[in-house]
Amino acid sequence: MAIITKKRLVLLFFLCFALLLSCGKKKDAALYDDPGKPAYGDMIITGSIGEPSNLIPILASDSSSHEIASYIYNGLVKYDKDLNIVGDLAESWLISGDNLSITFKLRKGVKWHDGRPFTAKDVMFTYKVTIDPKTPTPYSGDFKLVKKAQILDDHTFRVTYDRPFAPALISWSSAILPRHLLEGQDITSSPLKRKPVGTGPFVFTEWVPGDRVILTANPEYFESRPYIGRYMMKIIPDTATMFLELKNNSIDMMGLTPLQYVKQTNYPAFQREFNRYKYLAFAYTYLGYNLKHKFFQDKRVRQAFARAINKKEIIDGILLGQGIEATGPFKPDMWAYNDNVKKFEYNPEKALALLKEAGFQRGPDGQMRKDGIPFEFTVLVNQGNTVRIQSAELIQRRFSEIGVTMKIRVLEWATLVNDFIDKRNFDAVLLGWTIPNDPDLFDIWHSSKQGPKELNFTSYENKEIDELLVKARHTMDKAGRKKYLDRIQEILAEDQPYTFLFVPYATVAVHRRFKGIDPGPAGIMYNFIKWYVPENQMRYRINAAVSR
Amino acid sequence: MLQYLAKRLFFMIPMIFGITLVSFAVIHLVPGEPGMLEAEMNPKITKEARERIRAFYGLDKPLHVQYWTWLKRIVRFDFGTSFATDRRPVIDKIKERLPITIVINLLSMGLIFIFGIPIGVYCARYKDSIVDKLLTSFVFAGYAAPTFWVALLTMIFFGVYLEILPVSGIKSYDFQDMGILGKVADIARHLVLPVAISAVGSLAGISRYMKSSLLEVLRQEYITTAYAKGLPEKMVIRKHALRNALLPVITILGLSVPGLIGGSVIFESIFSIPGMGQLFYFSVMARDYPTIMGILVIGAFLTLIGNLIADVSYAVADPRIRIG
Repeated sequence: MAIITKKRLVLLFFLCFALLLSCGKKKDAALYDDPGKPAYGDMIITGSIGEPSNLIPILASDSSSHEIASYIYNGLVKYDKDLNIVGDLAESWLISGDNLSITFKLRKGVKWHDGRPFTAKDVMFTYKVTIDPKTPTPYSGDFKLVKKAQILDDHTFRVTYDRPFAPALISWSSAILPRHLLEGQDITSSPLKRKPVGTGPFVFTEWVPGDRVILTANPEYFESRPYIGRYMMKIIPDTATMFLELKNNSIDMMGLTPLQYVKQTNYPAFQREFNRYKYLAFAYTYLGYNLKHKFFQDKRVRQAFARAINKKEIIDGILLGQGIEATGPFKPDMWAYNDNVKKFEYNPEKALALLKEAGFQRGPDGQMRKDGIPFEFTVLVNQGNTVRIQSAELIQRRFSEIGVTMKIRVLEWATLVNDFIDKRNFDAVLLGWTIPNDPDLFDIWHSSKQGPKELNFTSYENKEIDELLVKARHTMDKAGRKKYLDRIQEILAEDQPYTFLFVPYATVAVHRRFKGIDPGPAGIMYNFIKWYVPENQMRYRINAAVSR
Repeated sequence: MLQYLAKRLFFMIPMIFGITLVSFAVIHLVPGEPGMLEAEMNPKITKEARERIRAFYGLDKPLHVQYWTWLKRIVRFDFGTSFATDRRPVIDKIKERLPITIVINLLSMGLIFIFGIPIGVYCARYKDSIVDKLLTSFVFAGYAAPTFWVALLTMIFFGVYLEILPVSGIKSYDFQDMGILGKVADIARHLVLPVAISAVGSLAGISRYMKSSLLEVLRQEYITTAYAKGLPEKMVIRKHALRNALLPVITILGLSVPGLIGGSVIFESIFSIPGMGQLFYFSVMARDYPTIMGILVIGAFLTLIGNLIADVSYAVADPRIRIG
């Protein structure tokens, strides 16, 4: 008897196990080559390494919160594929003759996700709550320059500035919040930070803490109902796991590293399931010099460094070709970019000549010296960013060829910023900037921005640049602004306060059943509501769209 | 006994304060401030906005004032509001993370005892046999191999290659549409790998403990006596040896109490399990002082309680300690 029960137990155990196994999902055999016809339905699953923190965008500073918020809310204006400003909640706008005020004509018939109509009062409320000193938002800077905001009628809103302000229009792309749900409350304790209500293409459905956020298509979205019925962001804190989930087809979209893009996804089974897209990222990596350092004050030294660094080798070796050489603070597919600037080709001889001109002498040990002081400095890099650390190593080797000793020090991000950059306690840094969509360079290059926590931490001072920055900032006319920006880029290229290293490509894998993706300078997400899955290729049977 | 208990409890109070004071100081010494890390070096964020946020969190006050404010709240069991931008009560955040961590830890602790003790007993009984050596190598391999590596390998094998188990997470995408049985099966499927892997890493400890402690007991004279009076081996080991050999295991059990709520960061991140380890890690990365302190205080408290329970149950189980 005892033996039988034991046997039964074992059997039961195996049965349970078999049951567990049998729940595994079946593989889609469908071919994804057929572009099919647009249809409503299916779900897209994306992965995020961080959990969103707050879905009221003015209170959040992390990228996953802003990503979710971008599907839920609208601004008055937005960027299109080619980074032109187009209307979003605003149908049109009029800039006054003196360039001081903008009058927005708002769309009529737009409804909040709870059914209430959207009006100019919501815009006014968003403006007021953003500049309210009680709101702990980091994004009040641009709105503070507004002198007067007026509601002309329910669908007309006017803002007036003290002087013309070029980034004014695009500053109104920030998410408009629902007045009827937030007015008179403490915004930091509003339930909307976990259950947002917006006007956007997707409606908030569910947030399982630490696990996932689910959005459902808004059938009454004013532009047009999104084809994809549901959006799910899974929180997967480990990038290796996320990549496995992608290979396992459990997530549909993921940004790839150069190594993943070039090597690890380059096999037929993956390419049968996924399309890979690439576009220039809004970011550049640079070697920045502390211009208070006595050697770096000399422009010729910086130019010599630009000649000594082989940018191509960094791109080929470390980014595996997934980037282009940077010549200035913009990327080539932006309207503000000026290609006609002085370029410093890799040329060690010329670098040596420039250093000699600057008074350096090469000793018998190969070390560069000036007045007996050897040319040695330390470059700071932030921990965890392998691309930057490896770039520094390649540069280190190139510098040693011209007799300059560069040490590399890797520091944790907060320490690097607070103890070294803020205290101006560094020789050089190898870091990156994101390139703003609106080409305003004031905060990084203007000589007045050298205070603590301000961004001109390399202490760059150039009177002509200062003037041009101010002019560019206060010119509303695009062509006029471009003239100033072109000149700024020429001066920066000549002056080399940074050595601009590279602009990387953003590389993304998206499952092949999603059609209608069209990469442009703005990336791929700008036409997300137009993405679709043909009826026969749908994977998740989701009866799309919420009903009210 | 009661006096002993009272004394132990009394000494726990200064200990708790000491722990909180040290942790508070250490955390505030780390560079970087809450709400600011992601805002660092962002051109759109002005200096005034920064100052405003600091004042909002009370970070502009001196450190001892901040500690005092925190202490006044904590004695009322109010853990405060998180400094993460979600501004939620710390206790809510801990509450929603706690169940999954406790479930996984209980299951893996169960597994460890179910497998660890028999392995230890077997290895002690058949010391130096081939099977003993194999088992020992296996548990030590499990102990030595880095968790994240084993985890990734099993994920690739069972998840991507065989496609029989999910790679990560604890629920499928269609979880809300499942029946109750489906839900249980779904969670069970997701838990197989994490529980198994967390258990494999700790098998070595408990089985070695068991083995050495049993070997010690088997050398005692009363075991010889038991054999001498003709008891079968099974009886000797089960009735006489094992009971005494299990004593040190109580200590380990007591020490595992705080481990029940502290999930492992690496392992929870790899398997995307929204547990305590992840919460703690993200809080540290975001310099979310109230949440960090909340978890530390609970952890410290449980460690002390666990120690106490271990000591007390030890005294209950072993007359030599009780009397001596």
